[in-house]
Amino acid sequence: MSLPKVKINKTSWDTYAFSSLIVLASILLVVLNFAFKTNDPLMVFVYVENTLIDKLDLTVDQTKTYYQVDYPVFKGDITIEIFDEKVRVEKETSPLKYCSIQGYVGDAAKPIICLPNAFYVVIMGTNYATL
Amino acid sequence: MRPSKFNVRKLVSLSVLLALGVILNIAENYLVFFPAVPGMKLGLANTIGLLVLALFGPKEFLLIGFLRVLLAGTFSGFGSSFMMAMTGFIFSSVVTLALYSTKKFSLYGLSMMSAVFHGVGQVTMISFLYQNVLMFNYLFILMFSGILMGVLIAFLTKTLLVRVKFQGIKEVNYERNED
Repeated sequence: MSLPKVKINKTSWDTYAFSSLIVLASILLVVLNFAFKTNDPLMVFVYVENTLIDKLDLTVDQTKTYYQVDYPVFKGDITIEIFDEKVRVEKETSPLKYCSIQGYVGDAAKPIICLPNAFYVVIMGTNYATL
Repeated sequence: MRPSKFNVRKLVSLSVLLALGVILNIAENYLVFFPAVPGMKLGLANTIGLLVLALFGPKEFLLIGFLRVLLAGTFSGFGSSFMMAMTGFIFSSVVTLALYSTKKFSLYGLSMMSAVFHGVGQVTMISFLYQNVLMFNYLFILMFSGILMGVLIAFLTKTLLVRVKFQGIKEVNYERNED
């Protein structure tokens, strides 16, 4: 049995796939925006692996460091900064430094993930999780 | 002499493509296109995957893709990034080969779906690792970027197939259909 050949020019099925993906991604955008909407005061939830380790007030400007001594899974100490109701990872140790490059996040439910450190922070309503 | 099923020329061609794939995979980790979305990449290594599919076929596509992820893992470590890359590869390969077997999609459709499902795989794995569905919040961004990057990668692959003479590769598995 011969293998099907790969077509190199666009077909109408590509257009259907393109349109379906655009529609699907747009629906997802709207649904997720509604799903995580909250009227509670916002807090910054800090996780290591899947354990909540800290909960910080988003309205209070502050800098906090989490030490490798306390969390051996870290590759170095991690400092987060809350400023003007936004949060960012200020310092971290990782090969590509993606999470500190990401900068400030002010939207709820949009995590900043430091994959090599198994660390992430996310802004959510107060009642999202308890410590 | 008995003809070899996996001849030397094919072995060398696939090895060169694999090496290129690994280099592109590692190199593009250092290119940050859009800092607000970690993990958003051009996916240059996918060009190699599509080239292998178009020049050799699905078996080689799977083999080279799997080895590429594995070899890239030896450089970056077999931690959570590797698990995400492998899940992305599995999701995207299954979808690519399923669509390829329908004979209806071109490089563009295959590349787009592959890029989008790579993102779906990655987000699924990280949600599983961290037991948190919030990670799916990145999915729509990865879907939009996957569509865009997928089209760009397909265009690049097509250009390479049309313009570059792949010396000695006889196992050509593509056709120039009507646009």
